[in-house]
Amino acid sequence: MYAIESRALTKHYSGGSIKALTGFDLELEKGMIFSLLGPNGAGKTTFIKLLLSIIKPTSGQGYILGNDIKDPSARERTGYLSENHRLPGYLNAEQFLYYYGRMSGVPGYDLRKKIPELLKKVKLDDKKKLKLKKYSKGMLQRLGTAHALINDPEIIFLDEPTDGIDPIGRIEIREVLLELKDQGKTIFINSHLLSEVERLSDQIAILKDGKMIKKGKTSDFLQSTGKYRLTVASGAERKLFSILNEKKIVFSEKNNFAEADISNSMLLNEVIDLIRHKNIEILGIEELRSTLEDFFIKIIR
Amino acid sequence: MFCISLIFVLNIKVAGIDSGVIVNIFGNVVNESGKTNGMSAEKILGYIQSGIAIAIFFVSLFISLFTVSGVFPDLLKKGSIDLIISKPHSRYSIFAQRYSGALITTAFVIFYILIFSWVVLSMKFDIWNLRFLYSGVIVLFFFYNIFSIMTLLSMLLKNGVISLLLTYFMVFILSPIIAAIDRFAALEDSFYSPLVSFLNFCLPKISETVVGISDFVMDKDISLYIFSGPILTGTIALIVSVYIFKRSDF
Repeated sequence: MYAIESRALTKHYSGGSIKALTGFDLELEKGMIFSLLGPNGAGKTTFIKLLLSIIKPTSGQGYILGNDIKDPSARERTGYLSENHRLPGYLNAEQFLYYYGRMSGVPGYDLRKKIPELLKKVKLDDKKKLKLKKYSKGMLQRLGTAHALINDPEIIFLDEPTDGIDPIGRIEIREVLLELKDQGKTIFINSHLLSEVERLSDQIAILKDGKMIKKGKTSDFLQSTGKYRLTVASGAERKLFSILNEKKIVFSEKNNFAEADISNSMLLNEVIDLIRHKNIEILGIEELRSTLEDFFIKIIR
Repeated sequence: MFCISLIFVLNIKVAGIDSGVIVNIFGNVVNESGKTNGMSAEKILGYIQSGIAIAIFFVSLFISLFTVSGVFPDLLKKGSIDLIISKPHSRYSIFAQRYSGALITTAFVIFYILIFSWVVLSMKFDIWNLRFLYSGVIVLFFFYNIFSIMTLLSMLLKNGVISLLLTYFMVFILSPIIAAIDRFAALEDSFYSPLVSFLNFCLPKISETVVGISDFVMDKDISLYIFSGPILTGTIALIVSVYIFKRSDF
């Protein structure tokens, strides 16, 4: 049984003139962090909303933990942080979590124990009595994350979870997510922050114009560029460049390093031998890999 | 506060004499049965109770509509609806909880005042007129019709203020005008005459309902016609609202 499964899930508006999502197939194993990437309007949020029955599919099927998404029980073991959530400003954090916890079917006595733990986890325990209308965007986002975890879900859907959160807050959210992954939870993330996604995700899929254009392990997206950055001690650059010229290696000159096209490890070892033979001090050798951002921009353009 | 002040404000004294009762309101003797051709205590109580029932009708209608006007528009706001629909409840259940919540709140407001005034008046007169108590059901039915229409407007317009203003307009302005046009047959020969009659049948009839409440409390027969049309309209509006809510993408 998959955590999430979709078969040709499709959502079209206005009689098919607007294709938000077309024939989306996905089989997601339990216990992994999966990220869905794509430009604005690609259909990322549409997919989450379809799974949670916030919008109705035009065609296709979806399953959460084997339950049909049309059945409300499919949402019993899910948590959700929406992109632009509107939390009731007249409640404080404790009341908000209690109210929505009860809606998720959590008994009151469990909530009384769980709410302080969650507020501590998202670093809002000192603000638990403050009305939500006085919360900053980052605080609301952290509370939204706590809300997504209130029913101890097996699958957590996070739509732009670090939106509006400062760098420290992002690190904290990331730590929470990794902790949840260690507990065997499945986490589904929609995000624009590619560096975050790269750090967190086990699998990634890229959507464009409502269609999936690539899906795979995160490592598949971070391929070697076949380039190495060779950094030598200051003043020895000329010697390094002459070695590279000697070996007919294409490279770009920088201050005290060169970014060289070295296609295989044998050639790399030869270059290192030559550098050492000339008593040049090597400060670093780094394989240059493409980032997710590089890949994303290339594939989207 | 209303209930406490009611005890003092009414200031009714009802005393039995050999040939009848003396009813004293605010220090003035309004009835000396046996001595004059004055009204019976039952009738005086009936007038007081129908006055209170009508006041409750207007006040609770106005306040309750205002209070519950945000129930559905707030639910439908982007960012709010996602949180609720993503919970393991069917849309029917979410709608029913919201709708019945508003209805129960209004019923509480109506019957809280009604029961208290009924107890005070009944103790003073020693006449326990249950019809006064049951008049709350008429008020609640009227509210049900209006609230169903307001819910439909909220579903269509997704704006609480506009829905509320349109509902107030319909109940307090349009309905009496339509009723007057229809009653005086002002458009008898007109092409619009059937339309006016149809609207008069469908729209909540505020003036007829007021008379109906009074007659009901005073133990007179009332026409079910004044309720049949609005109940039908309210029920259709409710069904359409549920259908829209069930089918909508949020």
